[in-house]
Amino acid sequence: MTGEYALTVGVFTGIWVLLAMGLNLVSGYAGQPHLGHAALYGIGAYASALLTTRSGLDPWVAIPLSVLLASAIGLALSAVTLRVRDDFLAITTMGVNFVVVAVFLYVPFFGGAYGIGGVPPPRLLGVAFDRRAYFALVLGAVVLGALLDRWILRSWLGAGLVALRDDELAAEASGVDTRRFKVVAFGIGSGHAGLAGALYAHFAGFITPQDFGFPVSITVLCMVVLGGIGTLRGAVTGAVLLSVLPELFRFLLNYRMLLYGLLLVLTMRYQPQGLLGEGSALVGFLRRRAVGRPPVPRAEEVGRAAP
Amino acid sequence: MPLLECRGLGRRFGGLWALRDVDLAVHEGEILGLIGPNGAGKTTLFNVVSGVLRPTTGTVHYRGRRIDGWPVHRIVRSGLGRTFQIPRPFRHLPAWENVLVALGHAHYASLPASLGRARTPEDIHRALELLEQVGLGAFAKTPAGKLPLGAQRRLEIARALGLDPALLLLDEPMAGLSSAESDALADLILRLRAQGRTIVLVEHNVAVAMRLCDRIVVLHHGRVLSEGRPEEVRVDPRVIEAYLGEEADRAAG
Repeated sequence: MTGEYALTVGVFTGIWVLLAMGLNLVSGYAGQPHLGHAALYGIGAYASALLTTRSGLDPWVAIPLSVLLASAIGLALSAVTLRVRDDFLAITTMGVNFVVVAVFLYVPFFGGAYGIGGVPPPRLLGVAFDRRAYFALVLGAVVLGALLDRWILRSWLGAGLVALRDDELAAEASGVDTRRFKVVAFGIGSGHAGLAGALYAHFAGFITPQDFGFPVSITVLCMVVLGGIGTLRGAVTGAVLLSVLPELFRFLLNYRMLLYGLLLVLTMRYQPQGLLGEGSALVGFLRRRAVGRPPVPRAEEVGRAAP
Repeated sequence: MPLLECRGLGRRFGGLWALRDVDLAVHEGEILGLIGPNGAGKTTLFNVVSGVLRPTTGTVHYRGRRIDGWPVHRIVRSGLGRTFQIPRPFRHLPAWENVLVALGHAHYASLPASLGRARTPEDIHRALELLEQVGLGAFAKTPAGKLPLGAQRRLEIARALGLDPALLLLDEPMAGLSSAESDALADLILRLRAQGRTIVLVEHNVAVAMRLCDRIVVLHHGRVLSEGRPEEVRVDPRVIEAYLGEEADRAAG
């Protein structure tokens, strides 16, 4: 593997990790099935591509704007789609994915099947980002996303989300505005996807509708489920594994979707918590190895630890 | 002014009125028992009062404010806690985090507040304290789904207490408990009243309700059949007939 090639794989891996973290917020923490994550990824990519190529904005302005736009569209979509639940929500979000791709494909404004080319890379002090710099940028975005996720999980928002995942009515009866919390989770998750999309557009230089199709949504779902849905470490691990492994075993490349499908089925059947999810075999093993650190502090211990 | 007041409350499911013209007042500081045969509408009444179901007719006032039509989360935030007859724990969360979720009730109302840090030492301390209060201190770290039924019922109460409610609606908290467990729970209910909380208790077991409650309302076929102090209700011929009627139905069926 040459350095340039490794950096390219690194950039794409980072983009997948961002996507997986975003989906994990919606499907993992809030427990809402979401099969249209790639639609928001596409919206982020097209927004940033159009803002730079047509409106002449600088990528440094276009990227944050695209994140906000994807987030806002995610908020609006979920406010409408969350009237339905469970399997119906899965089908509705899937439909959203198809509609968004069709809009990119058939509305001339979006460049049709040829997509949009000539998306400029970001520049710093007049110098365009090379792969190394871009990798650093993506890495920074991943770290930012991970910090945000951790913040959320430790906040009351996170507590309310994991509660409503287990039992919506009981969460309501504990004071959680479940509808609003789900919408917020969709909004933030969509923001992650939008950032991933914008980073993809400025790295690849051109984008087409197929880059954001339904298979992409399923791939992200696969990553999250394989790694361990509902945990940050699981989402990150799944995304890294499934984006690096096919590069190591190039002969697998053509069978990528087959492999993902198989992994999804096997995970659901034998280890629904995923590799690193809460209560998975591997985590149990690692916990037993690490000398019994209790996951929850007792009040006395907390009292002692507090300044 | 009563703490909770229902006027002309009715709820219809298809052609069946599960509640019909129910007038009910709950006064501050009392333990009110709600009894009645199966299908009398006790749980429906709880669901309508706590906002899970909308009333078909009538109104609900809490502290003088009309609350029917409010979403559940808004009603419970205003100080009206409830438990579920069939426990609904957050199964994958440890017992103490079940309580923690309710402790967040003051933070959920605004987005900035809900982004604040949960699980501060005070929160953890308070959650463990409430678990101790219901006798679940030893199970703090057990996932709620793995607790036995009796413990899940007590966890329901601890979680509702996390809302620091002035009014607590308990839906058959004694069902399925051993007599020792149900005695302990009766003590707990009396202690909660001593803390200044008002309690409405749905109870299938008439003897338990008679012993514990200051006042009893008997529901039958969705209507208030009788109301009064336990010793008055006990000798009300209509009540006796309703319960005997149920026995007779059962014998005939």
